[in-house]
Amino acid sequence: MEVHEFQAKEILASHGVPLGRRAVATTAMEIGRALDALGRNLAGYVVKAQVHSGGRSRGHFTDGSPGGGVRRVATADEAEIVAQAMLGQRLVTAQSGPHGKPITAILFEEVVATDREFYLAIFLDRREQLPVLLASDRGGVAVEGAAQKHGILREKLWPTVGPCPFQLRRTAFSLGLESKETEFCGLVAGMWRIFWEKNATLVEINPLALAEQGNFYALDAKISFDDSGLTRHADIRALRDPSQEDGAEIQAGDLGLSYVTLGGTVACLTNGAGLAMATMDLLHAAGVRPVNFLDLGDGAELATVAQAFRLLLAEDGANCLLINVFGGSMRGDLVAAALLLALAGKQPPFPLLVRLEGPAAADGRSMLRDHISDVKILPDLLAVEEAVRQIC
Amino acid sequence: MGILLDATTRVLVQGITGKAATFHVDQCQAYGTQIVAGVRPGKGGQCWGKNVPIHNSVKDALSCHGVDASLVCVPAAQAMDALLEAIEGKISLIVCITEGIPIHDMLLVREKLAGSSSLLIGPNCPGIITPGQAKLGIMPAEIHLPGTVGVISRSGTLTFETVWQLTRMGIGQSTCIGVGGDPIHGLSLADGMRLFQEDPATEGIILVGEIGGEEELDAAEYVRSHGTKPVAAFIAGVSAPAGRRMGHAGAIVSGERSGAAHKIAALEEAGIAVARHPGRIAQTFLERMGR
Repeated sequence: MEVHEFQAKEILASHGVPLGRRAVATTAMEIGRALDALGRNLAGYVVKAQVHSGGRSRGHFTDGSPGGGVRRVATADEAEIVAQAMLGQRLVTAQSGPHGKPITAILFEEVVATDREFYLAIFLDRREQLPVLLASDRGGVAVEGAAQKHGILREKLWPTVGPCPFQLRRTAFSLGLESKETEFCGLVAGMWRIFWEKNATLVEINPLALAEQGNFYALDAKISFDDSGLTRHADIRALRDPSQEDGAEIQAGDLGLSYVTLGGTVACLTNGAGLAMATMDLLHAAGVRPVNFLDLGDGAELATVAQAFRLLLAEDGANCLLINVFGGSMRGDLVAAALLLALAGKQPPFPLLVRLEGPAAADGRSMLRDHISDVKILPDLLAVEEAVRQIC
Repeated sequence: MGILLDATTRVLVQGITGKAATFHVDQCQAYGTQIVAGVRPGKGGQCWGKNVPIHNSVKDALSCHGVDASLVCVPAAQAMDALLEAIEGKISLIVCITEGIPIHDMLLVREKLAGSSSLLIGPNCPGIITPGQAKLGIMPAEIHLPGTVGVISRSGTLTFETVWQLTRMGIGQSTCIGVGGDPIHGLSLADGMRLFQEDPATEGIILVGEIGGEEELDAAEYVRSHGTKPVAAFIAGVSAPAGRRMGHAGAIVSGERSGAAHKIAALEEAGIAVARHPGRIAQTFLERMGR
């Protein structure tokens, strides 16, 4: 699960990570009050659109108004004008998809005069199968290029121990922070507590600034959480912002299904992430785009599968429904019964292609053949591709 | 014969009384797997099915039976505890089917696994089957055929897909393993490639990978440096839209390396024949075998 920057900063602040002065507005009414609370006579302001997407400063608004999602202004009045224009807009970034994400909150911050900027993160490294501490003396967007060119400081962390003093010392010295070792260690300890105690998979501060007067500030932050760990953290679950997610994806998520809207023409019901992905690949190879990515999992019940079919039948732009299921536990007759349940006696609005294997697959295939007039039963994935080419 | 599992393997089932577990363990037993005991705290002394004794703990079970493998079918919230209990019991092979185990729980399991005598397959995986001998997992047994091709995959359903293609061509399998889709897990693709390479009963290997992570690269490196058997592969996700990024960290740590194109190139450089269509995995293997 993702959270907004201002939420990540609240979590960091409550774990002892130093942050600058800031205020949040979620409605137009709150904008003035937020700036009052922050102070109207600061040396400068940063106005930051809150969306679940990176690359905000280089993003653009869907109504074509100028400026990115992160703006520096000199006065509170300017900050107010910029914020009023941002709130409620959609921000499109390189990572947000073409429709962008709605801006549901604005974060105001005091401009801090920084001396040096760093990159700092605790991240779940799949290759190491361990959490790692990543650090660089080049913060901001420069970190990716710097990491490629000069490498990045990296410490593998033992889950039961966390960051060891010797690792933190080593990192602080390499970053040229000898005189700030104590503060640096305290800061990473706070990040580790979030990572470990809140089931986070990423706690990233970028940039971490060292201000001219010698204090650290987390200027931007991102925290991601493991969905499987959320049952243990009501406080983190409460931070979810459904407006940042696609409607069909939310409904599917509530059913425990993995669903991604892709905007093509073939609606797909598949089981297992691998087969779902391979199905997408096959459609692309045939020159056709899928409406969606749907991984049914293997243990879904009848009502859940029926609900998944209803989602697919309601998708705009679909002109074909493809069932590609290879059951382990999933029974073929259950898949067929679920579709008939979702159709409620009607015929599907478009042709049906079926590739069904696994337990009771023959029963499922014959149920569909008996009840659906425009259906093609296909023996394998090569036949699926050929049928898709013909229909679409 | 195949690797890790055969008809002589004595199996303990942790969480044997659950509804899904009952169904699958029944299927495993029907296939010939020797289920010697089960564990369900509070139900010790009872029997599962006709004659499988239930114990309150792994330790109790081990004091009464020789056990070579444990099938863990415990719900996600208690799965870490069950896995640690199996590791403490020094059970050689642990297969965990459970989905949705918190990643941090698995980090602790990995830490205990290192230096232990146990090998873990999974979690969130279909399990392992040595066709004609035994199965530990949730795969449909009837699609398999005994033979000499090892299959190892990150995806459950694509394992079934691959096996079914082989079987319909009359090509049997030595052992088939799904290593599971979770980011933190036990047996890796490279571990599996090594086991198949060292298994005299395996003549060729099929590897099924996907986007994300870098395991396929390690498997490719193993084949490049140690492989003598023909290997074919498939990588799912060639057409996947650029995923949500894990901050800058995701790009710094793996970047392009976790993408399908990079993996396919690395596999081909290692002499592996990579199928470009999910419907041609077995056919690509046959061509690689030169048949």
